[in-house]
Amino acid sequence: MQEQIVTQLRAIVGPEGILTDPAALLAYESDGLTLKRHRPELVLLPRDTSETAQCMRVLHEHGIPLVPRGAGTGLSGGATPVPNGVLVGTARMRDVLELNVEDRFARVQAGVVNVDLTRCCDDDGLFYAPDPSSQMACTIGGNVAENSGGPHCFKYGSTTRHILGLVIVTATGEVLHLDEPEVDPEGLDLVGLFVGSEGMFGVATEITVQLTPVPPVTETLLAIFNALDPCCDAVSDLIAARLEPSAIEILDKLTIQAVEASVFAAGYPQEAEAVLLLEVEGREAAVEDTVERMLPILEAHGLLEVRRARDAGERRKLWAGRKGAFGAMGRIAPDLYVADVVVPRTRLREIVRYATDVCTERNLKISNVFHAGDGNLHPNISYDRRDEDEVARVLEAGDLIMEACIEYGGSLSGEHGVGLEKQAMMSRLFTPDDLSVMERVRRCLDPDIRLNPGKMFPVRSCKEVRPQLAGSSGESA
Amino acid sequence: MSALLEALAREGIEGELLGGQPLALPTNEEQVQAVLRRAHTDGIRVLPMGLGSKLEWCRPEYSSNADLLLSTRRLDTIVDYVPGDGTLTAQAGCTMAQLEERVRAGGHRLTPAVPLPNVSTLGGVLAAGQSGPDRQKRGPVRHHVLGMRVALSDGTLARSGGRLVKNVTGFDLHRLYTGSRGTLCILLEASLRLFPRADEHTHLVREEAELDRVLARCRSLRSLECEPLAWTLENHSGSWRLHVALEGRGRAHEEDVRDVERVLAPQEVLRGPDADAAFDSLRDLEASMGWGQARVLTRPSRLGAVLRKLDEEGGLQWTAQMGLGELCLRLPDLEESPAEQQVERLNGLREILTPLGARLEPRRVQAQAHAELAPALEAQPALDWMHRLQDELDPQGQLRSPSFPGRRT
Repeated sequence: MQEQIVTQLRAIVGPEGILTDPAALLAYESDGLTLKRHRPELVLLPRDTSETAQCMRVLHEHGIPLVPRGAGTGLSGGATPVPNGVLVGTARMRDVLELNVEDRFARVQAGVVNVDLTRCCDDDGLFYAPDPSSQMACTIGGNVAENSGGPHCFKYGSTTRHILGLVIVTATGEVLHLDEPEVDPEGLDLVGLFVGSEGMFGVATEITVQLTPVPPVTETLLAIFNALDPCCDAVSDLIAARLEPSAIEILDKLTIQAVEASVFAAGYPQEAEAVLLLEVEGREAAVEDTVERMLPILEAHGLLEVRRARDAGERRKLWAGRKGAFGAMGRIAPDLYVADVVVPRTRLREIVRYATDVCTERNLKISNVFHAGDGNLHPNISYDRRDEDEVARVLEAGDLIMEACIEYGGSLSGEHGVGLEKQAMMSRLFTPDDLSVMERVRRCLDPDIRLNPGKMFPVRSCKEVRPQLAGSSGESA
Repeated sequence: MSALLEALAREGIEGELLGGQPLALPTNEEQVQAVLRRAHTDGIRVLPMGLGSKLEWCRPEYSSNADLLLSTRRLDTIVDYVPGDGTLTAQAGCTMAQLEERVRAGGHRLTPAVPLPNVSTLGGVLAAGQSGPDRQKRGPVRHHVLGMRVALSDGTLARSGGRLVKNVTGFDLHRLYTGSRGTLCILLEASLRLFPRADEHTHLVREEAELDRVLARCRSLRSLECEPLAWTLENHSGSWRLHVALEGRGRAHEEDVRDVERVLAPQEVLRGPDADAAFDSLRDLEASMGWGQARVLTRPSRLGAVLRKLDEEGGLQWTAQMGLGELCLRLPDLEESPAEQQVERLNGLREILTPLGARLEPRRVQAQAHAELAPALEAQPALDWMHRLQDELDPQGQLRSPSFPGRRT
């Protein structure tokens, strides 16, 4: 990158807001999808909307592509740097700008960590509902970009249902103020369009989120099964019975063993083939009623035992095990491929069985921990990236699982996004016209395709025009 | 019969005249495509509609600005209802009543509960972004749309989302289309998330002579643990009627009812079918208010100040969703008045409401008034984005409206 441009950017964000040292850039080479790596030209860490807008104007002026980044916990490569590109991180945008208890919303900077948002309002009896497993580290801005989910999205819905407004800096450095928390948007729903756009429409710098009252009673249950199939069937029947717990999670035996051997040990029974982690919230009578109705359904599917968390400490422990499961997999192998697919909730057993067979046939270690209530599966494949043959088998298994999900009426991602990981599969799910309309929308908001280029859309001949890179004449793929 | 309808008839597409305007009535997606392709080639301005129940507030220019009305009312097939998954996929011309009847049998409830479900189509409700009083508990309609199939103005068919309750694959274009009032595309089919139908319903009503007393009750209601299905205040012949609709099951529902009774001291407590009928009346209130309407949006905490100000103005009828900050306002004196008078009166109200942090949108006023009251572009980046999206998806402006989302200056 030309020194003159670096100087311009440094003048905007100050010396602490720009990283150019190769050692410092190393940490930004990938997000949670570590199979894909690229070192950025530099990393910008603006403090607020104004600095972000100034930086974006400089990058626009010089035709430099950029990738927005929160905490880098994403698992689909959405924050992987692009060639000759810059990362724009939100790590220095950590302020809660407004907390309105009466109207139950908060306005925060994009770099606020998910769990900190709840911490700032729990004394007022409120919380922020979307709770990705990475919530101790992931940022609200990253959650917006990926439309993140989490276990409790079964009841409360994904991020998009909790975003009331945004301040967006566009590719050219203009600022869109869409931050008034109104019931309905004025004109077209740009906020709804922006959430889940994977950093391709702009950089969200301020976010207005809806806060939810803390339920008066929470009951957490651990239902223990001697086989995974009936555990899946029990979930399908709970949904069909129209019961409304707030979370329904499944962990299989390998996951249980990994968790119990780790610092996240939650007291899960290691002899069990599968457990269901269920949470029911609401008024006491409603919680009791739902639990009473759930138990016969679980028993009909061979429930061995049900344990109830006796206090908040036990509940936290059970959830720490679930949310730490991905980290615990490090005990099985050095690397983990976290698939993220969705199927109709009536077909859970079939796809779990299929994923297991695909991995077994390829001599791969698969563990399952997933949001069963939403039909959102995470078949996790443990591997060693130094073993090229194993990597190839992992990628093949991942593709086969995604293809099967599409066949079953499912989709490629429930909460991680498409990014680099799934872009090649997009043309299996969508028609060329479907994709073309999405690309047209993208192009009209970022005509030069400088925002997170090369992601989400499959590279089709003469379809995706690569960004005009600084100092080059551009190229077509 | 117009020459346009005759030309369409030669392609097997039926039509008729509606108020002197040609109305195309395609029966399948291919026919919608054919109509749009012809319109695209011939530069014909098209106004999408279902049964037309919301045209006067959504696209009031229909009487003067469209060359062709295109109704999806004959695309009326329920494509897929999966009770075990709690999802419904239906073509745009299905009425909300038809859909509600279908899912009721499977133990589900359709959201949104919109006024006049017999004459409201799924496509019309989604294009209008119309929610019902049940949004208090369930959230706005845009939260429940899982995916859509649409036709662009050049006849291109495209899908976004799917039929799954959780899905983040690709852009959420169905969120963009919801509430776009037919200015981006024609909605052909949509998938919705359904909610379990509750076993028991109770409807409580409290009438008060003083506004401050009813607002105090609302503040107490907000602090309760229960979650009402709907919570609506209407001014009614010089007094105020506060409605609270509850749904639930067994002992938990009874606890909710007791809590609300304690705060509300209701004069009426309706149960079972009576409660259902009362909820339906509440749902239809807005539709029964006639012409000369506006919608006011603000934060819930500001609604009290807005209502006091409107009360001072006098001569207004309104219903307010108290937990949401949404108000449907009727100005009876504007019902028959000319457009200039409507503009003057509504602008006057805007001047009063804007300092209170409330936004006013015209509804059911004359087309010219509607257009003049639309916000002006004047380098507002957000409006610029909206116009760019419209230009991209409808480059010839066949679906364009002069009043939505705002005027270009």
